[in-house]
Amino acid sequence: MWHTLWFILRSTIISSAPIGYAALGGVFNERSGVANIALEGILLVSSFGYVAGAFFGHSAWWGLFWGIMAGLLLSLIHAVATVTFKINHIVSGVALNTIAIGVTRMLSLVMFGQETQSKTNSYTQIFGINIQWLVALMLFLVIAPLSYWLLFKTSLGLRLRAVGENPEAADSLGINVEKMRYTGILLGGIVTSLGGIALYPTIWQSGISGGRGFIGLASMILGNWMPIRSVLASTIFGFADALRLLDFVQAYIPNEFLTALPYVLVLIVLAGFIGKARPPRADGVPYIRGE
Amino acid sequence: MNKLPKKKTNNFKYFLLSLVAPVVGIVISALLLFFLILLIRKGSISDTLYAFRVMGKTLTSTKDLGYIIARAEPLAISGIAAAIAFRAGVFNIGTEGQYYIGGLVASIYAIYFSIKSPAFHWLNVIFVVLFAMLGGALWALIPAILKMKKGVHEVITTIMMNQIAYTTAKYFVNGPLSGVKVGESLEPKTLDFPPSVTFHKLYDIFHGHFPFPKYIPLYESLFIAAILIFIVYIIIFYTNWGFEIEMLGTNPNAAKYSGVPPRLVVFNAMLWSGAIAGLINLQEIFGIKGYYTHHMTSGLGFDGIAVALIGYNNPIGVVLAALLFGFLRTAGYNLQFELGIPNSTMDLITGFIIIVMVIASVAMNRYISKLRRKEVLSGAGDR
Repeated sequence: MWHTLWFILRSTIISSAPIGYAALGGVFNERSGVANIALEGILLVSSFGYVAGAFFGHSAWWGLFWGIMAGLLLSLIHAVATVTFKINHIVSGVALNTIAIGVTRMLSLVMFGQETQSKTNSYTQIFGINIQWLVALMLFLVIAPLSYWLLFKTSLGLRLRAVGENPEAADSLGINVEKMRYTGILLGGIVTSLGGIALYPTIWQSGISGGRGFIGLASMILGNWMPIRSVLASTIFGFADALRLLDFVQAYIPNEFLTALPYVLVLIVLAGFIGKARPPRADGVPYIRGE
Repeated sequence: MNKLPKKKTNNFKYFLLSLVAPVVGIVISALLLFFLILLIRKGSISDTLYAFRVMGKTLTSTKDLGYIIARAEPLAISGIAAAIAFRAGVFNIGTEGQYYIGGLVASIYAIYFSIKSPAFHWLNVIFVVLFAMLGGALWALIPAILKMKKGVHEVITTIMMNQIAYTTAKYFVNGPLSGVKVGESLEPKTLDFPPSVTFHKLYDIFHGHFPFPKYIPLYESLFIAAILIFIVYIIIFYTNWGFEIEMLGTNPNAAKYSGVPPRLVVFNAMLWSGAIAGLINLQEIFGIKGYYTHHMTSGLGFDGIAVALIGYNNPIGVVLAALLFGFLRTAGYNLQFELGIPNSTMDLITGFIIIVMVIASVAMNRYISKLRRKEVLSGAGDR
């Protein structure tokens, strides 16, 4: 009994982590006014970055470094495209997801000699703790509260949110809109990369992100663009995932039903039957001065 | 009365300027590809040049041209589906799920309700098309309703619908529609469709007058794609409805004041986009495979979005962009076969082309509107 409960709790935390990190990453992006559907691609490249970095650097620390660098790089392209060149945010996201698939498969072939998966990486411990478990726990204990503090208790957070709500007003108060949006995208990129690292540190496979970036966006909406609530929302998906692993659940409920349930739930929430979701006002709108 | 001076707008010049973005996109991407291949081949310039020759050869071999058309076909349909929504200013990211469900509904028709007599093959094809459209539209219905009634952003609802579509398809294939016989194969699939439904190869229809070899996967669905693109072209440029969509997409306020019901137009555009998306993968389901499975080519919906963007949401542009993608993929396979350059390099290039092209077109549009403003102002000065 206790054993089963602990199993459910642990697997809920582990399966929620990538989604929760992506949701937090989404919060940073969208609070600054940038829609980012490239979270999916960021999860993919950062999970590849971790495995490749740790494998060739012979240390989990190098894995962490390259995982975050990979995610940052993809975010940087999104920032340049949407903020500096002001192209449509969804367009850039679609392109970046394609690039992420291509670049990881290409590098996997060059580095590991196989396009669809990497070699097994055995450097998965930091301070003697499994990195997947550590990073997953960190989300709930450290990163989520820290993000809340950053967004709602500091002047940087205030500026970031101002830019996402009303860039004209923020601009007239002397806030550099472009700089703030870069900050939002890059912070979001770092956070989402942690999710990619928590995905599966042992081996990278093509398509390993499995739509978790999109589900992260859904969690963000369920959490009404609030950091802690978004992370908690991600546990709904993680819990459904954990339940599916249990034998007695598998025996009674069709697997597909449990998989679909969280998405149906999101649609119901969006339809306004449970609470009201309200995005930042300037979300996804390129800001062009004087227009 | 003041007579306006004869307009001096040089339309040809603007046409040329609109070509700048695609050209810039392709040139810069070709450069990137050059360096990537150089990197993969460890700095061998002769190998890299050979790689480009392989890509050039793709355009001259009959076999490869056939593959380019076969690969472009689903992408063109997908691009058209996305373009209809884009023109009305909505992002239908859900084409991905809509083609899974469109194919599923058409498959249910094929397995249980189709006419078994081969003489009525054409009727079956028409019904397959109708049911696929019905399925696609059905899957677009919930996002369309939520958009119209509650103003919920369609990107997020369609993403949810995509995930549900995949599990729904999986449920039907593993459960009610399962056609896997014991000891046959492990791939989950439905029963095979009756031969009176499956699409014929164009090679057989044309009795040897077909330019491409028999193994190229070109089926009757190519006709469906061609007819569809023609109809959509007419609708977009020659009907009121097309004009309303266009107006709403480019200037919502002007559209509202001239009496276009914005919500209804968006609702319809979303449904039609879904209906067309239902047709995307008929080639694979009814041509290549002859049965339905959720393990079919995925990602065609997202590719179609890219195709629509590169083709400026114009049916002809969409066809050209789909052919470009078909070429990139076919060339990618050849590069992998001849030089061991990973096929996925082409995914990377595709994504890159989109970003560069869209950036270039945003910059060009700004330049063009500046130029037009100047022209109008100087025209006013002459008077």
